[in-house]
Amino acid sequence: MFCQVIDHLGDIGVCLRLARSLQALGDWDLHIFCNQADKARLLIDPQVDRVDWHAWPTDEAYLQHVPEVILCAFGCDLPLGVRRQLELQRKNPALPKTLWIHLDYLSAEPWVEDFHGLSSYKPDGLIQQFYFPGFGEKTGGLPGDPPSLLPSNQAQTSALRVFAYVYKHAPLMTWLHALNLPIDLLTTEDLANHWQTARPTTCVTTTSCGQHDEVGQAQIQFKTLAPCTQIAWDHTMLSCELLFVRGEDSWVQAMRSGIPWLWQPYPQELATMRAKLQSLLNIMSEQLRKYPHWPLWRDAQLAWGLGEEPDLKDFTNLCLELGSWQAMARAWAAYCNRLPRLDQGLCHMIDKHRSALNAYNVRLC
Amino acid sequence: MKIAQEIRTGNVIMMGKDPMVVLRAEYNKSGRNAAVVKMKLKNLLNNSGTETVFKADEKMEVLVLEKKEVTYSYFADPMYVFMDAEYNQFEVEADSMGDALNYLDDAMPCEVIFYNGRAISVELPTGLVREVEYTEPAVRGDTSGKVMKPARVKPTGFEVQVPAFVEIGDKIEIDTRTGEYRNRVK
Repeated sequence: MFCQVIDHLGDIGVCLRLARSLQALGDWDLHIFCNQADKARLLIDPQVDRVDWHAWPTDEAYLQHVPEVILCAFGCDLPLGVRRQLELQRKNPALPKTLWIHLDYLSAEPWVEDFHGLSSYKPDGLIQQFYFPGFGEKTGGLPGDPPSLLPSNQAQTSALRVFAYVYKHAPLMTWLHALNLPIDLLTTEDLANHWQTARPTTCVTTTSCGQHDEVGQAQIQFKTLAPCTQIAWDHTMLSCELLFVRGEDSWVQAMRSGIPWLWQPYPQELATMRAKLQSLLNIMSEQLRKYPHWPLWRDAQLAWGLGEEPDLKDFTNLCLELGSWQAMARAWAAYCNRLPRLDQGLCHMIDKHRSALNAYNVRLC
Repeated sequence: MKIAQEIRTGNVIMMGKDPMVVLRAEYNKSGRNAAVVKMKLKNLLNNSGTETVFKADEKMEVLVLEKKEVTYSYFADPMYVFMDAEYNQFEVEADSMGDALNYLDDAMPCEVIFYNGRAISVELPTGLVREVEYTEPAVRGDTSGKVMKPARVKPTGFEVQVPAFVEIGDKIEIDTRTGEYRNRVK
């Protein structure tokens, strides 16, 4: 697997989780190449993760062995040397051909089904298979894996345990202060510092600022998360009662957990984010429309995802009816955990490639 | 060289040693500002078709081919017939018309593209004005332009997503590269 860290460790987190679940499915010799391998190694739990990590190869470097499968995560380009190796392999009919996969981001949009599994023909004659995870039967399946168990230390305090891993521009303080509840906020040190220093500017209106001051900082206890392994990160997340998540890796695990969540997509043009959110909400509506509080979750998710001013009264009602929200989150998690999985879909693609190779080798003989 | 997202229906790209005419190009944004383009292509040497996908910023060789300004004349199954200013007629196979079929209208000006003397595809103007034949009435109060609804346009019945304020009989400009609404024309 090749993966470039762009800002934080979300993308490489998807790769590590995928590697872990692939190893659970079969006998793999897995190697991850990462441009920030040292930073990404923090995610590894040596007791569980049996993956070899490598620094990003230079453009002159060749791999010792050309692997059977190369997966380029999230559209990253192959280092030039590795690309040259694939070209040489293509020109030699006696060499087995590597399956070269482009793994894209998860999206609920309908076009994903049409794009998944298509071949991409390169000018140098190489072929790359495009793999699109998604929610539909014809997509590449859902990433992540169902949590094996929920930690038992949930809700031991009277305060609402909130987990927040979001982009800095998210107006989280406005939303949380509106709840008027004691809150334990588990978040990264970076985000905690940001909110504690920039708090007055996160208020939407003068009225709400006044209200926030009255509710006061004492209502929110910041509990910062030190850098940790992915498994420890998951456990912390799953010990909370309300999850504010972003990107892909934490979002997928939140969806699979059955804990109420709100997702912040990667900031893009408003129309692009709206299309992505609306597609997700359309699928969720099919599963959750029978729940009376679904419209509140749906509207809160749309406003939160687009960074729009929310109806804080509705959001407060949703949180006060946490049992209802949990029931919806569990129903959605049960649906997600029944969907085809990314790891299994990849194995299927690889099996097909092997069958085609075997047939080719038989013809050569 | 062009990047994949600049490729339009009617362009001819080289795939290995094969010239491929683009019958359809569909652009979509995935996560983190990455984008992909799906193309329906036809091989000009053996007429075989294929669907393929590219990252939107992938570079590809585009052949510069002879073009001629024409107007649409008539359909003689399975060929669409176009005529130039000197009354020369050129036939394009229905299979090679791609998205142009969504906008085809009598006497519509466009360009026919030739490869080795053969008319192989049609290139449309990037924007075309069409009249809305049918759309649901607007929901009262929503004039933001954010809420979209389907609208059927004349004369082909092609469906376009338009803002809620668009009504039957309105003339709208459509971006023929994306099939998306651009604006209402007075």
